[in-house]
Amino acid sequence: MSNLNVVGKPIPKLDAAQKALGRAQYIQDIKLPEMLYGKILYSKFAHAKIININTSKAEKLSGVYAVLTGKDVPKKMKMGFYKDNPPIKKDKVCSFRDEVAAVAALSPEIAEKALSLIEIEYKELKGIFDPEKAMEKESPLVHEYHKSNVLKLPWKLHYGDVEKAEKESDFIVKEKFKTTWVTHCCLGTSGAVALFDSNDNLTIHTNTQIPSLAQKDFLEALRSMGLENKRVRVIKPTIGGGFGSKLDTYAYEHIAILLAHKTRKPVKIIFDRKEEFKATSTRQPAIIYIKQGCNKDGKLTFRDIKMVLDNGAYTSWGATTPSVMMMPITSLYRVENVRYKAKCVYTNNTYSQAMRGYGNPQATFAIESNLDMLAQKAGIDRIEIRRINQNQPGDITPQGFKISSCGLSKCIDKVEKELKKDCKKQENVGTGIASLIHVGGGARIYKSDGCGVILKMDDYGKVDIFTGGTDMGQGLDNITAQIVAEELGLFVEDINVVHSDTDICPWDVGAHASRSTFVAGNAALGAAQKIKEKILKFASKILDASIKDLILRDRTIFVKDNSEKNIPPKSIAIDKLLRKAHFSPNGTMLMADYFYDPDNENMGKDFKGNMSVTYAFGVHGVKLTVDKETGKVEILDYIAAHDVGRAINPLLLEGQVYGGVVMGLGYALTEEVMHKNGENMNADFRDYKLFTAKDAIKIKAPVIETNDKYGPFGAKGIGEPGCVPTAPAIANAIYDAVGVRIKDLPITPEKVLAALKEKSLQE
Amino acid sequence: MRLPRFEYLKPENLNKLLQMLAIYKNDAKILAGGTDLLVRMKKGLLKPKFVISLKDLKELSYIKQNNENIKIGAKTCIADIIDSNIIKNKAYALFQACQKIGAATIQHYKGTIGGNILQDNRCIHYNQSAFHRSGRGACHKDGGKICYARDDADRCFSTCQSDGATALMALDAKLSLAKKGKKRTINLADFYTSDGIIPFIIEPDEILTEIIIPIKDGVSFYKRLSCRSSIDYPIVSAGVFLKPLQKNVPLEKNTIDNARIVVGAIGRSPLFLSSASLFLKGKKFNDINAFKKASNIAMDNASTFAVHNIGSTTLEYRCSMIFQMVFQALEQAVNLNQENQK
Repeated sequence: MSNLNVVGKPIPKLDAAQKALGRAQYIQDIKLPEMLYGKILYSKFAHAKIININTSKAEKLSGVYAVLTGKDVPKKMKMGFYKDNPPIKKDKVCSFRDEVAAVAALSPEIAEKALSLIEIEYKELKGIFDPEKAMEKESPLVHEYHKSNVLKLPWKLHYGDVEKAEKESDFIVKEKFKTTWVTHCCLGTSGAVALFDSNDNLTIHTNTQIPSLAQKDFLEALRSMGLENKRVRVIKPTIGGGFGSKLDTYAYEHIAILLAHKTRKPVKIIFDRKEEFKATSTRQPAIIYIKQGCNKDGKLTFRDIKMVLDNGAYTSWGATTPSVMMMPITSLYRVENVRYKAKCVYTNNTYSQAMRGYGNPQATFAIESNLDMLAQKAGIDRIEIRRINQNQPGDITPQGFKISSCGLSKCIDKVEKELKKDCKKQENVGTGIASLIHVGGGARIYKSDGCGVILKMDDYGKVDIFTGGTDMGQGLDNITAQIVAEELGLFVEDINVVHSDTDICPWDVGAHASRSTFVAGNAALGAAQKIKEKILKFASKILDASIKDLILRDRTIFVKDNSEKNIPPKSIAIDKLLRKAHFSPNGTMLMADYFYDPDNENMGKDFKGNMSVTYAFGVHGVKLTVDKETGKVEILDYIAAHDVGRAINPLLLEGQVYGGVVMGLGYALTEEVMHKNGENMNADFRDYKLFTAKDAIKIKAPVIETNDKYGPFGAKGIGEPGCVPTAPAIANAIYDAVGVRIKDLPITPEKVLAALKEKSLQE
Repeated sequence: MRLPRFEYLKPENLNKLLQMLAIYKNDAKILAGGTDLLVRMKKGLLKPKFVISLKDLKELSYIKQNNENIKIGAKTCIADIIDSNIIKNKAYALFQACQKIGAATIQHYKGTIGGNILQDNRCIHYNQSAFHRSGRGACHKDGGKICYARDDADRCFSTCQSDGATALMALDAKLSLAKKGKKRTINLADFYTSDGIIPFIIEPDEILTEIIIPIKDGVSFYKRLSCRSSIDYPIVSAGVFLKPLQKNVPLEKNTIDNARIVVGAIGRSPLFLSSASLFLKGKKFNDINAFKKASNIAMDNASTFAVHNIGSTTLEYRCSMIFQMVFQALEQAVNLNQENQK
């Protein structure tokens, strides 16, 4: 496919200049006539009864339009798939981020002042902050009505016979790993502006990755308010980062809706950075017990994993990360016998959400760290054991995943070659690798995994494409434009991508699961193909040529020149053709719609099913040095090889990988949301140790193209994979460098030093 | 979090500034770079009625040198200090410390050396939002009687996290302060109170005008440990200065006449460690064991002031790193100078 003109080209992000010039419209920039400002009051305790709330002083404050408490929230208004989270809490608070009251006022200053006038009497209750302790019988209950702190969720699978395989294994390594809370750190903070028209139809501008599903949530919210048969329009402005954080609807959105309805005015709620840290959700922390075995030849015999997940006080998508953790657990490398069980446990901590990789980084950290230990025990080279067990095209994994294309083997080769370039062994220097599998062709988590697209062409050869897909900075606008331009022989600047407005754009399940390039890309391609067919049909009449002899290129339709004579081929410019079509009797304008729903399967009761049409693979290799005096790790070289099917835009693709790796490095080495008895202690970038530009490292990101037969122009998803195997690659390299294995994240200098001390005591 | 309301004043010369301070005293705060002040104001830790900006003040930005001293105007931008050959040649530890302050953007855009020295002490339990602090009893620094850093502590255990001050104390710097009609000069070491609540003495109508570094024939070095490469305060830092006894004798053959070892980011102020410093007097510059011993003494003495108040690391780790930072600073000060001589 080397004759492509637009696909495969490193075209800068279409809205880059707008963003750099400060002209992109973020939620912060939205200002509507008569708009009020909403603010939320949070709990002062991790666990307490609300005895009394007095809002009278706040209500009397000049400029205050509404004050809400838990009793103003309709009973049925609950958030999250487990429906355990009302947007404002009434009788009891279960975490520090619990919303207890909200106000709408003329200015943010007045709103803030009003909050300080609300008097709340609490009776503090004993909190529980350790999920394993929370499972014990005598532990305090986070929600008494639930009768147990353990959530009723079905995370349990067993394929093959793990017990038998364990008995037959020559080598077994059993370990415990732990990961902690980290957060997305979107540079644009959260916010929403809600307003009702005179018929009680809602428009909400909000930072979301899921306009269509958010619409459904808000319709439900309206129904709980007694507003039946209303319309909801969700508009997503430019957002400064998503990374999974905007995959659910939140209390602030519901509160904005309630305030807007009560005041009959637009209400805007914007988080400040502190609030962003304290009141948005984290990556799901996990305690992981893993056992893996292999035979003498290094072939994996079984994998057995149990997890305890700190659910926090309420339930969002964090509690469903086991459904994705299953993917590496059952399908990273060939392993026939797998067992997995996860318990999500209520505590009085913060609750978790989706975050880039959706559980995969946690599970892969345990699997790939443990695999290195197993290789060592079995006396097999670390890279060799991965080769022995690598997935192959055509494989069907125990969970029923059909591996179509698979570049794992090529990724291993590439990383090995890079790491072994300079093979002289230096003191305290080590290398490590880790692999990943992730969905690369959509993920059927909902009943539909589809994306709709509407495409129209004007009289000047320009295209407007209305996609269900959402650009949140990851580059779906470019991908869509490049695919459509390629298919129609146009240039990227001819394509206008309209997205993220439910009144205008068709349905899509959301920007998640690394699915947008694959699913929204295929949808755009489908619509473009329909239009192309119409163009060719029309052109064949005008140019008096057979359709199969026509080529679309450079905004023109050419007739293939078969005559070998030295005369220019017959052609017509696309805009001219469009005008001819339009301005003739019984004229026509070119429009097309397309709905692409990938041919993947929902997981069955046993969690079997081909969740994705194709799977993405990758291998990360790192070379680092450990300072034995301070425990500090310095990365010398990093290579992230990814099987991407095909790079539609290599520039943006590299950006996704770089960003993913740096996020993974923070996860591995520095980042942690610190909690002291449930209270966030580091709610700013000074104390939350996000990598800074100065900490970023040079990353080599070779692209392995496997041209997947189902992907648009062969492409697979790459949004999440970049941050999946970083932590285990680093943990493995640290072990290689200085012989200590760190099993809980982040791998701080302090942990490394403590492990070194312990090791020297044992020697 | 929003800035509380205040009146903004912008004097165009030192005289006017001192006049304003004489009138407003405690009600006023001085805004140089603002990277420390504005964050504290947003958190409700400070509520000045007047903010006096030094934006239009030209008088306090300079680096000068005479036979005895280097003089730095308090409003001198961090980036200018990093770029100064005088500082690089005669006060190397300060050059290194300034490179570590904030981030490149802070160094270039706003941050001043005076602001770096005058930043208030920090503690993860104190430097929280007003709402966070309102959910519990007030700590010592917040006007209460509780310490969240160390249980049952009867006083404040916040720490001075200034990179600049630690290096300057090792260089035996002095501060010049002025108020209307009066000037004074004080040793940096004497500026501090050993009280976490009011960590140094500057009167409400007084302003820091100048930093004076005596030019001594010796070597200096600043070393710090931090989680990240920028915007982090140090976990521990050390500034050292070593003066040779003989002139024109290479360091490796020379004897230490005078040493100054200072540990930062652990105590209420940068800690000048006199026993560790004294220990090195008369020792050879190539005596690694003496460096180790001095570092151990420094660690023992400085550890008594350390508390767990930065969150990301434990007290034990920070204390054990005192040895590393002091030792590495001593060793690298000598090595660097030997390399320069070659």
